[in-house]
Amino acid sequence: MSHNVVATWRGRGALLGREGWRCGACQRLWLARRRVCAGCGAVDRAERAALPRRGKVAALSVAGAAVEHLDQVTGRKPVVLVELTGGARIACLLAHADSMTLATAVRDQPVRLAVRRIALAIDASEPIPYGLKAALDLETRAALKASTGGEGKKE
Amino acid sequence: MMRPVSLALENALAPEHDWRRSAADLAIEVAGPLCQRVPPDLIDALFVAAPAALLVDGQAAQGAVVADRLGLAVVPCYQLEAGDASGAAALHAAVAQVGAGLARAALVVAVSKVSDRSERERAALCDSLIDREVEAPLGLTYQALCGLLADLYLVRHKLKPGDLAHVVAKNAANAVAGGETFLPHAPSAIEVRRDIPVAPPLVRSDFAPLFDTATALLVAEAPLARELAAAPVEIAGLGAAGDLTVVADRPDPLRLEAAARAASKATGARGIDGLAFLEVSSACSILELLAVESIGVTAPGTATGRYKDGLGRAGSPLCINPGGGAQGRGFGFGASGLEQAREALLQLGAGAGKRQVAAASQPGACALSLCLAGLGSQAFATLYRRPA
Repeated sequence: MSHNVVATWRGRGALLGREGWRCGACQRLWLARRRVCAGCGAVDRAERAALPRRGKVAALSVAGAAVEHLDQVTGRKPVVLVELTGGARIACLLAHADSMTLATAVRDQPVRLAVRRIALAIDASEPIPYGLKAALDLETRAALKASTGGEGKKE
Repeated sequence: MMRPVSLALENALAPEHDWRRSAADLAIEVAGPLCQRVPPDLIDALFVAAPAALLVDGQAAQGAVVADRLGLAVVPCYQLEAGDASGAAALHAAVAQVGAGLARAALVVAVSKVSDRSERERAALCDSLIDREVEAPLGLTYQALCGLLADLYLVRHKLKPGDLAHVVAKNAANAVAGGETFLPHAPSAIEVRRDIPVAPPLVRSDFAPLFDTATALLVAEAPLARELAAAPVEIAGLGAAGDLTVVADRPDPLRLEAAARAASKATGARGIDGLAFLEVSSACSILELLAVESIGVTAPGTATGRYKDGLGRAGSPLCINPGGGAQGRGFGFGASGLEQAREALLQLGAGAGKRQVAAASQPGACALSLCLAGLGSQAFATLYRRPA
């Protein structure tokens, strides 16, 4: 699907500002704005709030798409489910150019939410989409590269 | 008070990739024979599920096109859109219409026309099922979220990736034995494990392949259904519910709350014990597993082991997807929910041939279908009963 630049502008708080929604009654954080809090049922108490910047990888995959009549998968992207400090959760892509190598080793590793380019292959006429990705700290990344033997490029 | 409502007549097209036929052609071929079997003025309403029409053909209001092509433009036509569960939503709406006395008989048509697109583009249709406001801008896809759920499932329950293969193996075995399938043979769990990884731990076979297909059912008030068909099947309960659409926001991503609520509403005090069979969405293996566990068929984390031991296969105490479901028969985008109802009409009614479940032949036998939209953002459960 083509990129919707207006939707990107509308969602800049979430995509670039690392914002979610906090229930003013129970203080629970959510990624989506909801009229009724899914945790405590409070009505019209959702307010913009910063998401925790750090968390831990709870699940991972490297998702792509199968190619017809070929035993190939293209467009693979490492994706992680991050348990954020403070209870919220986010599913997002894993940052770093060598993320394919690192992906298998990031389970339970600490990550931070970073604003990164989302799609690499886009039409020249379209704006470059940016959003949140899970990024490893330098020390963690170096340790994982050593353990996986990865030779990835510098981000 | 709802009037008693029954499924009376059915027809379905074999899933395939047929570039010669349009969505309208599929509708004519699947619903035409049913229209010929009933008096022309008997069909009071038309319900259409065709969510792929807008995505593939750019056709909004496909229901109007279907009504025109079927010669039903004079009757009220309602198009239901609930993603890949649109067929189930259309069935529920038709049952409500007839049950409320607003129609004596309603024709429900579900059409999936997707073969104009490549496999990669067809898979991307499923991306329309995730939360486009929150999840899609993060670069997530349907396959990616399924992969994350599967990984979380394996880690939490200390299972191995190969354990997931029993879902496909079970559905394929049922489909091949049942005779309605695109599969040349039923792969074993070992063969499934060797398939190419699409979203590890999920492999290509874990995602039901999308096909062109169509299903039509005639829903009628019970007395009329008995006039029209030798073996109508009663609608004994309906249940529908939703869940948080953003998977990461759910309190427990591995519990499909919509499925649990919908099944509970549909079965009521009866519960799920003693069902003749269960139809459950198998668009992706992990979604079938989570649905089966969420409605209480098995305890969390045990479904793969139970499948390995034979649960769900023809002849087991509870056959799950006797026709193979979307993984075994082929996945009609928006048609699979109606296909589940068709299977119930065959199994509890006139007979399902080689795949007939013995327990479904007993008077008063009940079966449950559970159709998920996307990754469980909605669920539609229907309880069917064979007349006593």
